[in-house]
Amino acid sequence: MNNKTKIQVAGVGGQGVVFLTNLIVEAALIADIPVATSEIHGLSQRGGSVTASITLGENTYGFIENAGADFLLGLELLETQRCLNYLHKNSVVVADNFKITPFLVNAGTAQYPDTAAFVELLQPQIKQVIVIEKITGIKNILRNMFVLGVASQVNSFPLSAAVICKAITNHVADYNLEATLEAFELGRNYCTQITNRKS
Amino acid sequence: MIRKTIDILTSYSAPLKVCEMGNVAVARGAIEANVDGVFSYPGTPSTEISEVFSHVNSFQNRKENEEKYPQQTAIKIYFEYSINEKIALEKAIAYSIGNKSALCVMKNVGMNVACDALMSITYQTIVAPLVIVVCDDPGCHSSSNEQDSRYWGKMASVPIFNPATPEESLEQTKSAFLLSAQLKLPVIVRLTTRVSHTRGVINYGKLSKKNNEASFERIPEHINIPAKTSAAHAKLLNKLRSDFINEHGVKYNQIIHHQNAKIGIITSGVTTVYVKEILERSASKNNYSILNLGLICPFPTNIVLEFLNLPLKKIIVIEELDPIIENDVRIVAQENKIKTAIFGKGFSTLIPTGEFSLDSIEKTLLDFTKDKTLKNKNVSIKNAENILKDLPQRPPTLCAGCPHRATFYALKLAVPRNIPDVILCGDIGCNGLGALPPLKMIDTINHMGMSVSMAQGLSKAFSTSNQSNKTVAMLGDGTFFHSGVTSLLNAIYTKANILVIIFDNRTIGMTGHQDHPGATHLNKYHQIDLLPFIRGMGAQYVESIFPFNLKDSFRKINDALATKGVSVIVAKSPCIFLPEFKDGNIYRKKIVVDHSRCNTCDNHEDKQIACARCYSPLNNLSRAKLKITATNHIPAKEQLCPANICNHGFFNSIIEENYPEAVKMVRDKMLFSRTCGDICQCCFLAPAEIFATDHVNCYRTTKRLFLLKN
Repeated sequence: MNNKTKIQVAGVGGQGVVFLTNLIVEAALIADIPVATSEIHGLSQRGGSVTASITLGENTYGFIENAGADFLLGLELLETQRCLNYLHKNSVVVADNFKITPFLVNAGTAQYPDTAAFVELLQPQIKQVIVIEKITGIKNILRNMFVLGVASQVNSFPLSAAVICKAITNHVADYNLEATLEAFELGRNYCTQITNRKS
Repeated sequence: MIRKTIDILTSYSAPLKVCEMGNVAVARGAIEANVDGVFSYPGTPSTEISEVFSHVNSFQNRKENEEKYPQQTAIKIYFEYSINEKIALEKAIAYSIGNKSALCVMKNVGMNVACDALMSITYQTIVAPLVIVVCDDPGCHSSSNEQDSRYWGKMASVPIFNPATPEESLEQTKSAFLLSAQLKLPVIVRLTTRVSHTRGVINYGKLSKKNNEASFERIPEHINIPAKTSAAHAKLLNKLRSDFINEHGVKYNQIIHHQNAKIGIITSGVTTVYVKEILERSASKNNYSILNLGLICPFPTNIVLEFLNLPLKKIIVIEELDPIIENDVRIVAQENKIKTAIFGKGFSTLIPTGEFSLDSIEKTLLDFTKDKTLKNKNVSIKNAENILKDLPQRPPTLCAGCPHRATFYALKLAVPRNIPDVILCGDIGCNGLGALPPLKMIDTINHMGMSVSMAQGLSKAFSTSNQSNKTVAMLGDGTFFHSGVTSLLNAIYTKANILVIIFDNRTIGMTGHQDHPGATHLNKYHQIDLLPFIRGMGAQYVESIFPFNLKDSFRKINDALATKGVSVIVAKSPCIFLPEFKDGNIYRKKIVVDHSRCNTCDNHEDKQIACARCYSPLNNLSRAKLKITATNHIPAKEQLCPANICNHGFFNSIIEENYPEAVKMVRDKMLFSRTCGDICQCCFLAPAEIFATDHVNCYRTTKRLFLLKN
């Protein structure tokens, strides 16, 4: 049972949640790890929330229960918060500090949640929270690769950087490949910076 | 996509391991079963099955691919998006009678449209195999009901396969084709959202190269007349007693029994994997015996009886939606005087509504077994539920630049919402998004095509009172062709007093841009032009509008409302995702406000006043109206704000570098503009890069500011 890993990915339509999921799936296939996913993206093209659940290991079928996610990869802060119920004491959250305000907030009928408070709330309760403060030098559409790069530096992440790079190479069209790999690499370096700063 | 299309058409002697959706697995299953033609109507959660074949079709029909990929193009698979599910199924039946195997794909409610065809072909015969895939939607992620389509199979007396995983979806689809050939009867493969949209590892196996030759045999079974039907019914029921069914049943209906088990669990569909995963946690797995049912109709009485006869203390039936298996299990128990207690709907979290999850099934199993080791041991976040409750929702909206919004806006000006007897009947699809704030321009939404019927029925109901206003029906072009056409005929024929607005964006938008008779983006089909078609039906007033020309739209809507009888307005502008929109000059048009010609706003020289900022209460759109009726109007093609709400108030703020002001305008008013909408909704999509004016930089700056300030 311990060899199972469950990864939740959250974002908004157009941010590349499905693409990121595809890459993780591809990497798992390369590493010969059993993999399954479950996705809800009915109205994603129309600016709605998109989430994907990925489960790695035997006897698991793509579904994540409450307090079941070992990793939460958040591409947008509100959507990251929306996955709070999936977290547990040993979860690792990698969240991009990126906000896309829903139109209810734009229209002034709702408040965008206080993200600093959210991080404060999480920090003592789970194993690790990495909020990516600033991403520079890459296109917004590749921020998902940056997040994956950061996640891949966490010790317990089930997929190695080499395998992920191979998956990217298999999966991404040539004209975009270099930029994608670069974004992933930047994410990996970002994490070393963090660890260095702490130590 | 090309790679996936090639993969799915390739024969592998050593299986190719892929991780794919249940829907894709169904498609591959059909290809491995030598399907000749696919007929479908798009609808979530079934759409990806059709999309595979749509891609296959265009791949195989490209001349260069025939040389490059001879193996993958050798046997051509026919595919069409039919105009509705009934036609799709009828054509699939006919295709089968012509000795070509067929797959017919639809969502749950599609089966209701198609049922007429299903209910009598079973009394007759098909020739080549015919498999119907129907995808149910427990929890209604994207459907108008959460019906249990297993009833359709039972009602029509056809076999139903109910897979639990992508792997099973592939296998069972293949079996369904085989069984259909054996029984000469359509076979249903029924999925649910969580099977359709779950991905799992599946193996692509070998393909055999077999091409059915078309043929037609004149046999009495092809003629359905009352004198024969009773006997045919008996023959049909006899087919369901065939040994072939047991042969398949052995594969998909299985008991996992442990010697000392005291508790029995019967599962079907996705609940099978929920139960499996949770029982895996248990310290005493041997306590449980399980019966998984994959071929559920005709009811697998023998294996159920075998399970009921095991020395179990109690049994629970876990299935989503209606207690269909449970009821039959109870019948078998009663007929065989079995005393084991049977539980099902009503126990713990097992309700007939909504979707189950790992969490709800965990609760049920904990309550049922009292086995504490089944519980998830992870420590959750404190107070998570309360925090989640307060988060703002992110509902779907019409896309930035969507022409529907402009049409809704023109209508809003013509029909103030404080007139109670103008009822606005909306329909399914993107059109239905007009019901949500801030537009709120829809009073009713029912099922596909109902808007036109609703409008004529309501209008008739009010005809005895002194009401003189028209009832308005609004529907997309896809929905119109699907089932609005017949209703419009009825309205014209019965002299109804209604206005029908067809939101013609040249595609079926909501499900991801599929073909229909009005679409222009593929040359494969003959395009049907709505205007002459509807004029030919005899409507009193038929006009087309370009929604972004607000002045013209407003005038024509008023004319249409004033004409007695059936008025039809075709609001024609392509969906923003279509190539014809992107390639057309609408999109690449530079945004320039020509100050010498602009006379839409009395205060256009006054940089302090911006209409966008001034609040228009719900029923007071006089200011915007004033602009529409102004004589010197910016031609529609040159202004990109469909409402013609002063863009330059917004521009001016930006030019003055008063970004917070500009942002405020966008926020307060949700400008109905392509350009501004770009900022207010889909910031990250950034089509602004295409605009090559000085304003672009301003937009970008605003956008950045907008994102940072929040």
